[in-house]
Amino acid sequence: MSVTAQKLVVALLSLALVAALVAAGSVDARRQAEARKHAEAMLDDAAQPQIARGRAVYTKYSCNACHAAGGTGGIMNLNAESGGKVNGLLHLSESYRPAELAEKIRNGVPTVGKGDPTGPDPPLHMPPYRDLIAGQEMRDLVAYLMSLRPPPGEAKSSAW
Amino acid sequence: MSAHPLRRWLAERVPIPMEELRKPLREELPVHLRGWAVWLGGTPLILFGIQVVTGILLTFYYRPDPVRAFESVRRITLAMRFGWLIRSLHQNAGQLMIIALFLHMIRVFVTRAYRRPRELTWVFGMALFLLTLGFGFTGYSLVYDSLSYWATTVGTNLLGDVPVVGHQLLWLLRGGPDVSPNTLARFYNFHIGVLPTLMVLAITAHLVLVRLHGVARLEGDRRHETYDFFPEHVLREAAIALVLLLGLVVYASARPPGLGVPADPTFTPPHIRPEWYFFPSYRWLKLVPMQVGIWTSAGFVGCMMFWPWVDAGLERLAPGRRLGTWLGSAGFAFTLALLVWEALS
Repeated sequence: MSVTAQKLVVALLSLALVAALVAAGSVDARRQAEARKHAEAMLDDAAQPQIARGRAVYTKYSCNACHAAGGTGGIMNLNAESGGKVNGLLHLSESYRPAELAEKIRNGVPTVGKGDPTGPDPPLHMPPYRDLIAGQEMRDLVAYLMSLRPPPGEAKSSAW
Repeated sequence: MSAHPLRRWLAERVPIPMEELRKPLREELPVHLRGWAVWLGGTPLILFGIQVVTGILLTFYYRPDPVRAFESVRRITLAMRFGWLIRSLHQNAGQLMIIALFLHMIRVFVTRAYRRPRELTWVFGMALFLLTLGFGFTGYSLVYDSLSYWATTVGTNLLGDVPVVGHQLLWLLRGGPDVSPNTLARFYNFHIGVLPTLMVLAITAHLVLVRLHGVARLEGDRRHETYDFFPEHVLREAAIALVLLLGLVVYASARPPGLGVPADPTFTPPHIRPEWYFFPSYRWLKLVPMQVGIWTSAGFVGCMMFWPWVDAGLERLAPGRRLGTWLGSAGFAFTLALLVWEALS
């Protein structure tokens, strides 16, 4: 390979490295956004210890298994009236008072409404938590759920 | 003589014979270096350079005390701008450096380029390899997650079993009988102070000897053509450096470094293992009684360190039989087998 060809190779590799660094910049921007979000959550937890405890209760009793982390919902529940998915929990503060929400958690949701009345029953329903969550844990969980808010601009949910 | 006034001013105050300095650039290299083996010698140096730069950047934020070490690594990885990239480059350049050094040693071994008068070049090369392993061992411990903490504990425990000086060695490394805050401070000192100093000295000695003796010609290669160090060889090394950097950046972007669990001296994780490059000795020490393992490992390293003379002795013993090559190949195959065995277990 001639010296000129080698110089060309070095130049092309330099350009490729610059391109790779630019791509790494976008990875970095994404990681920075995640880090900021995490830092904000940590700050919130420090400022509002009850909400932080409630988030721990939410995970402890596997609420996130159906309602997802942060109560965003989205787990499939065939023919459920809430769009064939388990409903999210981001609008609870608009529809419930704390005592009503605690009662709903204690009783669970034995029957989930059908999206299509002629279709099958949705397979998932919420069991009663009467014997599992009580006292301070229930107060913390309710405080956490009532603190959830949808992202700015999202329309009000029809359920929950 | 119509040199630039600034150059004249500088030449008067710093009278360096520029013509002498340019001589190494005009060194003629044997034509076989144009082949695949060319990258093996320069590559570890390039990777060492990457580690020096990234290592200096990491020291700006790393905190070598047990309470803050893991948190500072977490901060570098998750919060600092491009911290994940710097850490990944540093870590993976280190791993690649060990592979590149090992391949370079195999090339020198197979071509028997270590023979008289180049024995000391080999000795300094072996020293570079051992120092690189030292960098790996001390660097891994600095992360201070659960696995690295316990790997450090087990690794330094082994030193305590070395006959006669084991106890002293253990204290030297740990700064006390147990792994403590002193240990982390010492490992940090070794990693960024003692080992780099020794490394630079060994690299200088190795390169000076390579330059003084010239690059060894291959046995049986009757070609007499040469090519210039500058610009052809330098351009090749630049291309290799760029390929390495490109690969490391792409890998870091695709798989950014993660974090383990913070070190907890009261909880021993179920699977403690050193980094992969210590797998052969780790497996060997598990196979045989401790004292046998230590003596044989020391014998193996000593044999490798002084291999040019061992090989010359074997050659005198059985001329033309290449006993050394056979013995070395068997040793290499055995080491590789131990590594694979430990990796798969």
